[in-house]
Amino acid sequence: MALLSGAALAMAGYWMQLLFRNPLASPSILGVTNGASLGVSVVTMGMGFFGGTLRPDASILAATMGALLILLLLFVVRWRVQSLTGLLIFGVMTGHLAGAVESIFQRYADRSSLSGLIFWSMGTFDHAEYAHILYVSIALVILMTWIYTHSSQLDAWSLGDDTARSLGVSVQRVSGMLMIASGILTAVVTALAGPIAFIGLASPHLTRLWWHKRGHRSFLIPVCLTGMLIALFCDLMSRSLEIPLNAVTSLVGAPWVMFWILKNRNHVF
Amino acid sequence: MFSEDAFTSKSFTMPVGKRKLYIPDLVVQPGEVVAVAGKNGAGKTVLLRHLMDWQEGQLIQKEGAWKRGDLRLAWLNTRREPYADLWVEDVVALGIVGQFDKERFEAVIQEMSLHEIRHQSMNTISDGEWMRMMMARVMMQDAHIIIMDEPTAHLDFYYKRIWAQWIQKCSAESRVVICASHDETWIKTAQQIWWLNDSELCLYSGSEFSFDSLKKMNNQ
Repeated sequence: MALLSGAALAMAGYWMQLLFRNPLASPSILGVTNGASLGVSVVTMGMGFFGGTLRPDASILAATMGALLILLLLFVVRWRVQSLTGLLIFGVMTGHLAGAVESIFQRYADRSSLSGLIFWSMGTFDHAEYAHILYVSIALVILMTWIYTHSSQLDAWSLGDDTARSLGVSVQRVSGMLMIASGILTAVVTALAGPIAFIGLASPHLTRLWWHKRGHRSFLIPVCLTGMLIALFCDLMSRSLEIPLNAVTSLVGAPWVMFWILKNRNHVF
Repeated sequence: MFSEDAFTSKSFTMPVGKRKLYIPDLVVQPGEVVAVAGKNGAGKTVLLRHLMDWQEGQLIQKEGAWKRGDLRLAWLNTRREPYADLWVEDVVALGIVGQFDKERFEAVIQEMSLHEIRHQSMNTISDGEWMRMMMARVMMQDAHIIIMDEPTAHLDFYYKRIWAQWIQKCSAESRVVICASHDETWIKTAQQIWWLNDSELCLYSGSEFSFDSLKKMNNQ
């Protein structure tokens, strides 16, 4: 589960960075994880209120709705806010808003739903079942194949809207595709393993350190492998130190982002 | 070679910031080179984007836009996308239309002196190398209409000359070149000058262009 979730989050992060043409875009920073998390919280509370049990597929659906809602909002904002800094701050604020709404729901949750949500929000691969592995695998294989077949369009997309259009690329179609694919992968992992930060952000950048070739077609698998290794490393650390998975990813990821900003201080924004 | 008909656009008014800019009827004959000029902030880039109401690489029929269909269009500007991360040769290859012609591809790479940096990430090259790479991509595109927004901004003397020769070749092949530029020497060689003042587009020929006429245009 750790390997598959790592791959899915790495892909979501890479596609989100392509979508916003922004090296600091990722599901956790732009608030997409929070959106997915809010979706799961809402249905969990609802199920607790009516005395039902939450099925994984309902949880995935709710998370997908939440993630896509935030992505759509961010994408609309992207047309109005040209500055990368502005967009990132908007994403962080959206995440805070989703978190605030989530905490209001939690305030009125019954005790058992609340304790379940708190453990889930720490992130864990411990409770993985075969069905969960199947869900992530299916999403990953279908979406990676779908996006891989559009690799040259994604390369053209990265050169900017005007150039992409002149090269015969439908900007609306490519952006919609990236939004759906990254939103679904973030949602599936968030629903099944909790909101996990930084793997999506760090994987594409770490891949560039060891993989020389560029272009979407040749970059896809290396990014996937990097995400797998980071998730596996963080899971092993989490188990051996007995600390929450999200604490490990943040302890590893946050210093990495700080280092990256310092290293690229003149080029990031 | 590329087209025998003239390209026409009906008059329209377009917003540039808080101003309105009147664009009169425009006619460009095949092989003509058009220089779009004007003061900084006059709306040259906005005009290029507005005129070229393209969809998936082809111009669509729309009131006020070019009344042509089934045409390939190439676009070149100076903007560097910070996240774009491809090898230089991969960017040039994006311009390939139809079958891959290796001989021609290599000739374009050589002509723009990109052979030494062809396996470098586009993020690591200079502004001048970036422009040469983008020009090579446009050369590969074989477009009917080539729209450029200040393409010579980062080019040195030698590559400005190469670029000017290529424009002449495009013209001889009956392609239309529309280019926003501040390069006085080059503007004089264009068949048409679309000069943008605060409220409208004024049409001139290249031979009418001089420093005195420039002062007059700016005062209009």
